[in-house]
Amino acid sequence: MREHDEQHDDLPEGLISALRKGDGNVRVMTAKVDRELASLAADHFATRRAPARVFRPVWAAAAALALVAFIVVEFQAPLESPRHPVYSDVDGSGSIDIADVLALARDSDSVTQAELDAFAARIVSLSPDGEDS
Amino acid sequence: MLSDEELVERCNSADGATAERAFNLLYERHKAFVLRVVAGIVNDNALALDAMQETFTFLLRQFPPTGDGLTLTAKLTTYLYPIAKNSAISQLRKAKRLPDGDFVPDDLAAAEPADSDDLLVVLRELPAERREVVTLRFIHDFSITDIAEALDVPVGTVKLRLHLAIRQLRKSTKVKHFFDS
Repeated sequence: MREHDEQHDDLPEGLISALRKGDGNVRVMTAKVDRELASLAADHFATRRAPARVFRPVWAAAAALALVAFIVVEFQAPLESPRHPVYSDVDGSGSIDIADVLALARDSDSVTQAELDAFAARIVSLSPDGEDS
Repeated sequence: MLSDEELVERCNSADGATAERAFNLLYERHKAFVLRVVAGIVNDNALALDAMQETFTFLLRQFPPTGDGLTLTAKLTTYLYPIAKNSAISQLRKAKRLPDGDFVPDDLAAAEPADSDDLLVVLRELPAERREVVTLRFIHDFSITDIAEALDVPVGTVKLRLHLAIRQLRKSTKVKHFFDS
């Protein structure tokens, strides 16, 4: 009985098609409303700024370049090289010690963390008289 | 193709240009539906366009910065239907074609159909509430649940109105032949 009732709650396909065909005859020109709504939408959303994440690709590229530069500098200018300025008596105390590492870290913008670490490691590995053991 | 939910989300929170494009896509996708709904109520092209514009302006204002954003819990057409219907009725009242006060559905049944097609005449003969569910179910392809949500009535009420509408259509001499074939 329930199935029979539910069958009667549907229209024949032919009638549905005819109803849809008849309903499709709304002939109205919407160009003016199209333009007005487009203009309203432009004004409405104009107050939103682009999110900061738009700049992420630029920062990512800058970080990648910095990493490449670090790798190039690190492997082409070994700490032991006489031309390398890092390993030196930075504070003018007369000896090269951990204070020079701290002074270099504080005062130099160009030295990298890896260079500072290598400088400190070298100092730690030296014999008390400053010569390599 | 982006879904309505994805487009609504962009309207809610994307940057200005993306949100604007998303809204325009929603408009293009659903303007025909809204136009059919309002035109079926107002029976006047100018009023139909005003009602359609009012409907989409209302939708636009749900998104920031003027609104809190929209969360779709049903299809967008289900959301738009009552807005379109109320916009159409509002236009009729402004044009003094409906008295102020509560909307009386049967007032619309008295309006002359724009088309003398038998099917439209038969639909117009249905009480407005039954005509509404038949239109939503068989022309706009709403599910029973969608109709209940759009009209804010229980599912049982929708089924009853549909049942009574179809029973009435079966008895109509103008469409009886569809049931007999």
